[in-house]
Parts: sequence; C-alpha cells; structure tokens
Amino acid sequence: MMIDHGLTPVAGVTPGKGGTLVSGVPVFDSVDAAVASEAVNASLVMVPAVGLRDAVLEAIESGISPIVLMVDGVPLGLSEELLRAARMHGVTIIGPNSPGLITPGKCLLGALHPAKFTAGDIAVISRSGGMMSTIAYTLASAGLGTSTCLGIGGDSVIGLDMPAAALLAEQDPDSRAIVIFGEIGTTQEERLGALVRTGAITKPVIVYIAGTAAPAGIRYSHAGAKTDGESGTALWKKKRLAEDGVIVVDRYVDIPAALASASPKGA
Amino acid sequence: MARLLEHQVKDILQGEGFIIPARRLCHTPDEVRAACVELGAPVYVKAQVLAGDRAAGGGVRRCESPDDAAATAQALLGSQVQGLTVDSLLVESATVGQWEGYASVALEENPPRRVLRFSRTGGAGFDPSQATVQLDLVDAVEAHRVRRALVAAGTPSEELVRLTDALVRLAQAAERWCAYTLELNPIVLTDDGVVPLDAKADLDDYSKALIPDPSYMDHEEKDPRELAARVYQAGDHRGSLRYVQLIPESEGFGASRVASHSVGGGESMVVLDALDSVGLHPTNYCDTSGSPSAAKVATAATLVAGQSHISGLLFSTCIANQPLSVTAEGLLEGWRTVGWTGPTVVRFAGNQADQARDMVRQWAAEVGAPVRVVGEETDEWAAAQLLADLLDERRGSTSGSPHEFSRGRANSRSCAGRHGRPWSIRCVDDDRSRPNARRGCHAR
Repeated sequence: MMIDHGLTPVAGVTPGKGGTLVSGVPVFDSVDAAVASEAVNASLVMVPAVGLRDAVLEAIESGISPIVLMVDGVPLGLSEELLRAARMHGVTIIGPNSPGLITPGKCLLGALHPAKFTAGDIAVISRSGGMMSTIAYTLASAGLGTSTCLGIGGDSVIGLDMPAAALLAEQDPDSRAIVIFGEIGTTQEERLGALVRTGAITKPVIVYIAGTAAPAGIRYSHAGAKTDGESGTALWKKKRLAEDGVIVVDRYVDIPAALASASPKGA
Repeated sequence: MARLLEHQVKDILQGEGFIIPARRLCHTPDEVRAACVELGAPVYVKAQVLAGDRAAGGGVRRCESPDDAAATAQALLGSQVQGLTVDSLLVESATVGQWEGYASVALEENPPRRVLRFSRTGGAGFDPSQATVQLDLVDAVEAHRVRRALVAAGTPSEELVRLTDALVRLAQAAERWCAYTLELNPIVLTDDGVVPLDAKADLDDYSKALIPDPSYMDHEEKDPRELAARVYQAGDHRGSLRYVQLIPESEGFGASRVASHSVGGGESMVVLDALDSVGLHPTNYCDTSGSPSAAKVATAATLVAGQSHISGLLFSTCIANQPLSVTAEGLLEGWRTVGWTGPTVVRFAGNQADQARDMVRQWAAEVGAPVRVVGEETDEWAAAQLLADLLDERRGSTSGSPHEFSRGRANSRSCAGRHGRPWSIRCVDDDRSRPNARRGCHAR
C-alpha cells in the first residue's frame, strides 16, 4: 500500500532475509545494518507479539525516532518496559495499538489507506484508528484536508499521547487547527484542556468524545476506554474541555461546521 | 482491565507474604453462622461485590455472635449494594491495629509509571493524592528507596522495618500480577506487620497469560455471550472480537431494545451514543475489527442477533481497511444461523463496502427482512434514526407480538456450560481457515 501510493519505505528488516528485495525495497538482517545503509528516520514495527519486545528494543537502541507500534494487546508490563527504554534513549514511541500516521502525499507509517486522506491544513489526533479515517473522510466531504493524521493508540499506556501530539500540531506550520477523537478513560483529554487553558496551545481545538452512552466500569475494545466513577466519563471530559476553551462537538459530523466558526486564541 | 473481588485479592496477597485475617467465603446464612463459630466473634461480614465504598452502602457489617452473623447474611444475600446483587459474603476475623492507614501501587500517566503510595491515615474517602509517601517506581522496587521515602515522611523508627517490608511486597505483587491498581485500604499495623483489612485490584487482561494464576480473571465474563466471545477470541487471534452484554436477556424484551454490532473500537462507542440519541437502548456492545475471519464475524453475529430481548439491530463500520465482503459473509452466516430477519440497519463504509452492501441487500430480498442498507454518506446518528423509524413502521403495521419476525433455532446445539447450565448459543466453526481454533459450543 505504501509503495502503491508513492510512499515507499527505504528499508525492511527481517533477520535471516538480509540481502533480499521485497517489491524493490532492500531487506536487512538488522536495524543497525539498515540505518548504516539507508536514510532511515522512522520505524514501523509490524511483528507478531512474540517478537515484539526484541524488535522494538533493537529499533530503540539504534536510535530511530519515532517508532510506530501497530501491535494490539501488548501486556502492560511490556508496554512499560518499552516506553521506559525509549525515554532513556530519547526515542518517541507512537502506540502500541496505533494505526499509524499519515501526512497526505508526503508520508505514511501504518495501515492507513492514502486514498482516504486529502491534503490540507487540519491536524487530526485520534485514540481510534478507524475513526481517524472516518473523520478525515468527514473533513474531505466538507472540502477540508488534513495536514497530518496521527493515531496515538487506544491503550492506557502509550508513548506519544494526546497532549504531546497536540503540542506538535501547535508547532506545525502546516496545521491551522487541531481535531481530536477522544474516548472515555485516561486523563489525556483533561491534560489537553489544561494546555489550551494555559495558552500553550493557541490553535483552535475541536474535540469529539465517544462513549457518552457507554456504561461505566466496563472495558470496551480499547484498553484505555474504561471509567470508574465520574472521573474519565465522556460528560466529565466534555465539561472540563469546554471550561478550558476547547470546542466540544456532540457528533463528529459537526466538526467541519465547528472548524468554520473557530478562530485562533486571541485572534 | 479485570477487577477482582476482595476475597480474591486477599488470597493473592496472602500468597505474596502478607498477613491476612482468618476468613471464609460463604454463600448461605448457615455457612456464615458456621464460619463465625469457627473464627470466633466478633467477625466482619462483607458483601463480595465490585463496588467502591461497600461500607457506606451497608455491605460491610460487624457481627458480635453467630446468630447476628447469620441474620446479617440473610439480609445481605440477594440484596443490592451500590446497585450490585450480593451472591457471596466474606466472613473475616476482626483485627485490631495501632492505626488505620493506606497503601497502594497505581499506574499513572504522563509519563506512564507506577507510583507507590503510603499514608498512616486512610479508610473510606481517603484521597490518595494526600498520601505522605509517593514514590515513582521507575524500575524494580528497591527497599532502600522505600525506607528513604518513609523516613522523609517522618515514620517512627520502630515501624520502619515492618512498613518497608509491606510496601516492597506490595510493589512486587503489583508487578507480578500485572496490576493497573493494587490498593490496600485500610491497613493496620500490628506487632507482626501490616495487615490489609480491605483490598482492591485491577489487573491487565492483556497479561492474563503472564500472571501466576490466570483463573483469577475468569470471573469477568459471567454472561454466557461474553464468555462465548472470549473463548472464541482465545482460539482465533486474527482480528478482534469483543462482546459486552449491557442489558441482560433476563430483563426481557423491550420495544426500544436493539442489538449493536460494529467494526472498530471507536466506531462501536459512537454507535452506542447514536442509538442513545434516538431513544434506543443497546442491549450489547460488539466489535469485530482488525480483519477477522468470516467465521469470527459469524460467531459474533450469532451472539448479537441471537439475543431474545431485541426488537432491531444496527450494524455499522468505521471507514475500515478490512475487506468488508468477508465481514458481510460472516454477518449473513451468523444471521442465517440464528434465523435473524428482524428490523435491521446495515451501514458499510470502507474497503469493499459496495460489494458488502450488495450482499446484504440480496440476503434481505431473499428472506424478506425489513433492512435498510446505507454507506458512509449516512452517519451513525442518521443510521440510528433509520432504525428507530423502521421500528416505528413495524409497530404501526403490526398490533400483535413484537416477535412477529422469525428467529429459527434449527442450527443451534446444546451442551453443558461452564456454570452447569445448558447453553444454546451457537458458535460458527470454519476449521479449514482456523486451524488453531477451539471447537464445540461456547454458549448458553
């Protein structure tokens, strides 16, 4: 899919397959060999769970950043270990359970169909892979394109989280506004709100939070989507975000209209 | 996450070297009376429900005699504590300590890390953010770091060794059992060491295979459909199948009760919101995403459409990468298996959506089912409204039973379930494409 859309990776790594080619892409035995030979500046890890720890630690120790982890169902202790190692090496992890990221026409790291994304100036950050594509479609249907769409992953223990991703979008000259797909559980939306309230983020932020009707105390598909009591519920998050100056929509299909009326803080 | 009951957490803690009061798990007043005689009064009789403050809800009571304990059990068993039905009680010897405090290990965000907390005050309503010791566990817990934090918090010298021992054990237990949270509140300090009087744990269900005893997580799916989904998923790792029963079938049929089946974890949440917005009540949550096999989707579809208390069904996808013709194949196989022909809205968006929509339209024409088939141009709220309208139309055109559509059972089998009940939910096996899958029935 990456090659079909002109977003060809520079190298692949499969121990024991070094020296071969896959669709013209050279395959190396180790990450170090790939880094030494090609202009590598990011890594996408797509290995079975049994080889995940080994593959990610190898990429971390090679100093590649960012590393995207698409793997779902990563045990808590392993996520903690990998993120701890990444922090020690100054490496950014995206995921686990991330669909990847796409800058339409420029970059693709993950399982996102480029044809579904239109280039533009709206940054999208999502805790759900499928809903990121759906929101990009909704924006495109309204004549709006996306600068970068980033799936941060649905787990509760992740690398680059929503506030950190929003700060990147704030600094991105190609992004004029930030659209968020949030869910119940974790404190990510609340910490994002604090960044808007304190002025660390000045671009318009539009948030849709799924799970208003989801009963509390249940873990749904995403490991991070669970609430216990009032804190972390969709209603709680919406209230806090609105108080912080974030534009909150009740339906994601209302995002284009919200963008049309949004203006940067202080403008 | 899997939350454990108090008696389970205490069994784990005892195995981790904690001093736990003598206790018995009971299910009848006679068992409670006998336990009180054996342990000696006074005892505490504690409802085993996954509720926050059980004491405030009347679920924890001190009993001064066996008769008192039996009467308390009679009152508690079958009653509701914080909205949850009590079906078991923990009878525990009363313990006296020097003070009542708090200890926990919890996973925190920004950055993700475990934090060890301790306070010499605790009990119901205690705010963990006020704990006097708050130690980030950046690596394996080290006794000297715990001691340093305790000393800095003004811990008396004579308590230092006992507290350090307990807190190190707690941190090690949280790691070994892959806990998001392991909380002891309150704790008391005795001459022999720290004794937890109450305990809670949330374990990571992705780590089930890694913890010392995975059976502690088995209680999570009490509902037979949830259990069937989990068992199937355990044998077929391609894609995911997640099923949650939101309204038990025992609550009976409802005109506004509808089934929900989606592709995508986020999409599934959106659909719950959309159904709620038009006054429909989803009886379940079901997500089959990540390119599952047709057999897996079919199993999910039998669980969803086989519910006896639904009046309609909404199936919806996000803009999915997975080949939706495979999804449609499984969906229709599942519906045929349980004979579903009720009011249905199907919303396919993404890869092979046209093909998938055609397959459903053809099936609907063949069986004469009232089905609306739409695509991404119809958002989830509009799709939910279509279902509400369809149900209204059906109600307007029929005056009799809401079950006027047929739901055959010809293909279902029966076998003994885990809880000894006959199960009649049918899973769909595709042994050719699922070599490692477990076979047999998984359902009620």
